Amino acid sequence: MSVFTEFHIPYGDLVVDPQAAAPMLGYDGDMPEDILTMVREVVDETTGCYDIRGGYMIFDSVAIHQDEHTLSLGGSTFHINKIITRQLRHSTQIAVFVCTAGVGIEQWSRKMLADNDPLKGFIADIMGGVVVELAIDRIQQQLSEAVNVAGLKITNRYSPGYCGWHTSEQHPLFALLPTTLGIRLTESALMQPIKSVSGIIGIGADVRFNPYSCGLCDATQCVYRNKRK
Amino acid sequence: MSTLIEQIALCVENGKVNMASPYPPQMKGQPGSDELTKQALEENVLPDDILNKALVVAMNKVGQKYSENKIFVPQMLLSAKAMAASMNHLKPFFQSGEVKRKGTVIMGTVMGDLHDIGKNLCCMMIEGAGWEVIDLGVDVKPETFIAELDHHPNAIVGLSALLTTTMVNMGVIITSIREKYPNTKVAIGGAPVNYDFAKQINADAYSKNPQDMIVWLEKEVA
Repeated sequence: MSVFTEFHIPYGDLVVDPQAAAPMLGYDGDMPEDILTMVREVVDETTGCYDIRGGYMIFDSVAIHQDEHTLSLGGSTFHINKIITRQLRHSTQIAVFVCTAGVGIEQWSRKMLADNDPLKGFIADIMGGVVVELAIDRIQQQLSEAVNVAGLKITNRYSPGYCGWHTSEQHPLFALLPTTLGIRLTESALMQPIKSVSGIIGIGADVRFNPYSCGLCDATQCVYRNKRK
Repeated sequence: MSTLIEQIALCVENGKVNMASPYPPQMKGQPGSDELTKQALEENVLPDDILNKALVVAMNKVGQKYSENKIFVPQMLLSAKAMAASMNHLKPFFQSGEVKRKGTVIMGTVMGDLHDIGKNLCCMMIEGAGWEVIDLGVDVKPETFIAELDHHPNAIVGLSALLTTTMVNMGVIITSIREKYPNTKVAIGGAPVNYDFAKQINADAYSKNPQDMIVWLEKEVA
C-alpha cells in the first residue's frame, strides 16, 4: 500500500472549454452564439469559485472475484457488478481516488437559482462538473505516468453509482483513505461538496484503457451517455 | 396592436425578462415580462388572466416546443426566468387567494440521489402551468414527503432519480406514502426509469419530460 498522493490544481492550469457545456444543454454540436456568450460569462464570473483538490492511494493487495463480481480491497469487499469486474479483471493493484472542485461553485450556482437566474445556475452546475472531470482526468494522467515507469498501465475510472455499483459502497471506499480532502458523505452516501468524484482505477501489466467507456455500461438512457467522448 | 396579455405571453415564450435583458437579441431594448406585468396590473388587468391567459399559455407552448426538440434547455430556462419575473408581481394575489392555482405538487429527488437539474426544470415548468410547486430538493427520504403531505394532504407527488442504483428508492417512497396516504397520486421521472418500472412500483404515471407531467396533471388530476 502506498501513501496518499495529493494534488492541488490551480483553476488556471485547466483548459476549460465553454463548448463542453453544449451536450448537457441539449445541443448535438456547438451552441448558438448567444447561448455560448452566456456560458462564457458564467465561466468568467466563476473563475474564483474553485478550490480543486484530489488524490489517490494505491492498494497492492487486491482480489477480484469474477464469479461474485466483487473486489476485496483493504479489508473491505465491494460489489462492483459485472461490467466493472470485467474491466478490472487483470488488475494487480487498485488506485482509490477522490477529487473535488470545492464548495464555491455549488454555492454560486445555488445563489443564481435563488436569485431567479436559473440558466446561469444551470450553466454553473454543468461547468462545475466539467471542471472536476478535467481535474480528475489530470490526476488520472499523473497516475498513468507514475505506473508507466514500472511498465504498468491503468484502466478507466469507475465510481459508485455507475455501471451497477451501489452508491452505498462509497462509505467503505472513503474509509480506505487517510484523508478525503474535506469531502464528506451524507448518510445516503452523497458527496459534499456536490462537485466531487470518487472511485477506483485498475493497475496492471495487462489492463486496458477504453477511450470511450459509455459503450460498456448498460444504462442506455443515462443523460451522460455519449456526452463524454 | 397586441394586448398586454399577448405581449406578456410573447415575452415569456421568448425568454424576455426585462428591458435590460439582452436576450433574445430580436427583442433587445424592449420591455420584458417584468415591466409588462407591472403595467398590466396598474391598468387593472385581472391577475388571474395574467396567470392563465399569458403565463400558462406561454409556458405550455415552451414545454411543447421543448418536447418536440424545437428549443433546448437554455431557452426553456430563460422562459422560466421571464415567467418568474412576472409571477413575482402576482405573489400578493396568490397570498390573498384572489388568484387560485390548480393544485399543489410536491417534488423531490429520491434519497441517495443528488441529481436535481431535471427535477428543477420540471418544477419550473409545472409552476408555469399554474400549479403550486413545493420542491423538497435532493436526497429526500420518505418521511420528508410524508411530513409535507401532512401539510398538503391533497397534493400530488413527483419523484425524480438519475441513477439505476437509486431509482429503486422510488418504490420504497411510494410504499411509505401509500401507508399513510393511500390515495395520493405519484408520478416518476428520470433517465433510468420508464413506464414499465412505474407500473412495477405502483406509480400513477411516468413522465418522460416536464411537458408529459403537465399533460398528465391536467388530464388525470386537474
